Amino acid sequence: MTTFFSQFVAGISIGSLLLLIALGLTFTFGQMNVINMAHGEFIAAGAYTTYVLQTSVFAASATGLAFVVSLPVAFLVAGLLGLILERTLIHRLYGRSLDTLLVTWGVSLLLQQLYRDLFGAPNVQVKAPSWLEGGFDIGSVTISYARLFIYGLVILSLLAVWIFTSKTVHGTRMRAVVQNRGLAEASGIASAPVDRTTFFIGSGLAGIAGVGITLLGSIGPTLGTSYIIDAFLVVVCGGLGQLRGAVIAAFVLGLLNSYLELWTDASLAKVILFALIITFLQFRPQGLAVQKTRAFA
Amino acid sequence: MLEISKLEVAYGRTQVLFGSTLDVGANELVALLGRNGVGKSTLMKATMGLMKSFNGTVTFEGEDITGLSPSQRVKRGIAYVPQGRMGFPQLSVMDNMKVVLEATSHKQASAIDEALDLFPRLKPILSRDAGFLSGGQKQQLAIARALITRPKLILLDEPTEGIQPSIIHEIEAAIAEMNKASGLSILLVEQHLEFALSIGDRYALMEHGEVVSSGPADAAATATVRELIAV
Repeated sequence: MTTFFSQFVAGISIGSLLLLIALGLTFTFGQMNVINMAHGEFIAAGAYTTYVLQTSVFAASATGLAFVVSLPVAFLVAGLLGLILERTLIHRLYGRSLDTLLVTWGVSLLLQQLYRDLFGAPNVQVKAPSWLEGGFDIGSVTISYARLFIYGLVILSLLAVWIFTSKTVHGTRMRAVVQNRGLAEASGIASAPVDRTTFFIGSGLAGIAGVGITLLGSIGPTLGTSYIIDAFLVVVCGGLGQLRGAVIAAFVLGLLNSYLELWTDASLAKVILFALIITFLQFRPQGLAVQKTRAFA
Repeated sequence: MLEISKLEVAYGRTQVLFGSTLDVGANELVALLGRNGVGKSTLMKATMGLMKSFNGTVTFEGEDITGLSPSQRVKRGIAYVPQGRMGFPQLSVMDNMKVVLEATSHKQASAIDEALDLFPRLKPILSRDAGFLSGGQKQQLAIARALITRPKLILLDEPTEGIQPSIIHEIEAAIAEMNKASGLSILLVEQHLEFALSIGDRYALMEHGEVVSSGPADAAATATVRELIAV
């Protein structure tokens, strides 16, 4: 029972991290159909932003403050990287998903090398704020404050994304462009600025995820690559662009991963998980959550 | 008001418009006639900027708009209701209209009220997702959305195609009202010949990507024109 519960907590933790990373992808991949392989490097950009703020900008005594400040700064840094990518390359490739995969994979390699040149190949450590050290016990399971912080970060990001997409003028405009680009243009909604903002926000969310990840271990130039595939799986399984689906998919994948690892070893667990996902997508290629609608013929 | 001159448009290597020339005057309703596949819809898309022309010009109120994007053309005062009752399916009826209103430069909420007065059927279903509407409701919403931009000219591509007869009358009445009472210029593609010619000031007949004849609407009732339109 104890192992069952501790694996549950571990699964929820993996799921919340997946969701945090996948949130950005629901914008760039889910809404805009851009397969941005450099999304992982935007995560790393967020993590390195935290590192730079701690080591070079703030005093050693102010690690906590540096960490909090790094959240909005990482959003801006990663968002701007995304904006540059959208303006220089992606906007020429709308409607050509596979080409965006190749191009952004190249960008991903470039950025990884850039990080090596700037910060060195070995991993670097970001100090967690003192108020996130330690944890509390539920029965025999310890939940660290760092994990708790990530849960909070996920919930806040999720809330912000939901409010943005469903309650703001820009969010409505974004959905209109996604649902019918040509009609939006012909109704007077210029799509280019909408694309820019959507991509900025999606990339910025990767930066926020990067800050969260610094709490879980050291960070390196290839930090993003280990998370990016799983995050894409979350978006695909959840149903493209569907927030609700992404939430469910992230936690189902996290929990499955966690329990499968308990039953077998980590690499075989991954194989089984992928096999399950492939089977699932055979029967439901559109993912978990699908917007029901009468056809707009 | 609108002058289309020698417009040439192609889908990839297949040329569809071979130098189409057409004009719509202020307050005028021009019925664009012709069989399926002669390029009526393409001409509208090119007028709207949704298709690039490789030759010819589109002039609106004296300004050459050939190089402008669709959204810039909307700002100049052209609205477009595409064929097939298109909309934003996962936005509510109200949001379908609001999202258009917020992109206009006038931003007057009264534009929505006026559109709803023209199509009162939409009033009780404002919070419903547009994807769940019936064909007739979708088409009324599509025209309402176009009107919210407060256009001077509206392009209507087969507004009654596939709509249940009871609603066809409402849409036809709305088109008449837009043109006669509000003074909108209209370019109308319409299969219901009787209606198009009864309401139209002029007709323009297309064949093989060109406007081959045009004249007063009552002249289109002649046997030659009818023969050219007959399917």
